[in-house]
Amino acid sequence: MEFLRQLDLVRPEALETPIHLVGCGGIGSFAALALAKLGCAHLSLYDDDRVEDHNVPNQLFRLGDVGRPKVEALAEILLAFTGARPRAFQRRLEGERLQGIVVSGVDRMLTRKTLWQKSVRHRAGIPLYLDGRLGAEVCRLYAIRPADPDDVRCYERSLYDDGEALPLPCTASAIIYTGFAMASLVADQVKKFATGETVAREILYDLKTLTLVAT
Amino acid sequence: MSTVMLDKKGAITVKVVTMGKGVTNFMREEPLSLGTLLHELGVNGQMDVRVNGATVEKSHRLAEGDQILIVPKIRGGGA
Repeated sequence: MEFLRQLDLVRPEALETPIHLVGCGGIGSFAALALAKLGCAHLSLYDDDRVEDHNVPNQLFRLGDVGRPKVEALAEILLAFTGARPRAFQRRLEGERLQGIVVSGVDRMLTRKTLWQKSVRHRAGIPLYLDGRLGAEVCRLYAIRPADPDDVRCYERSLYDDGEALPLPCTASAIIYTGFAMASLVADQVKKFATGETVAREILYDLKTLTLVAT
Repeated sequence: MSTVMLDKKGAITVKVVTMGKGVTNFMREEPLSLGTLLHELGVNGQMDVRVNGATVEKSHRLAEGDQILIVPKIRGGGA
């Protein structure tokens, strides 16, 4: 791709760090496209799910993708849109030692905790960990340096149990523009990290009230 | 944005932003604690609450112009 329009914002060579996207649904599918279009050259996708009918309105997938593994369909979309050839893994992470940026877009707090404890916490090979959480029109995004004790303390306070989370009816849990918004925040944080700008530890963004809080 | 008012001297107005729901200004007689306001609003443990950007105790006394941010503990990845 030709990155002329963004060369003074971020150079392609600054985006060579591998990025692992864990979960390829409402967060991961759009974030993958945003990162690929940003110019992130080394993407890996992890998800054991297949595309279902109800995923089409609020995820990147096409009608013809229904029934296919999400990582397979997403890899095909990224190739068609950007020429990117991500590595696609139709499975969950099982505590591998990852190198590079990790982006979590999983659905449950228990899965988040497992990912954090087994694959991310205190890992020097992971310079940045992004954890996105969506609910209806609200986004929460954490940007954590796993080797930074202050970041670790702050993040672990946010790892509430699934039972503490606000239950949302399945008919009011996801909508297209929240996924786009989250993808923009993820790409922005990756760009800031790549260029040495300050990364916000926590971003809260509510499309309902148009409230944005970054700390 | 709506405003809920009491016509009393010694009252304070605080702004409550409930993410995912709306923004409301509340006028209430002093003293007003965070816990009292949250009880009135029916806010429970499924929400994080910040006053002027900081996490405070429920006994924290609210002041004129305070901004209370109520953030749902969400967990989804949009599956």
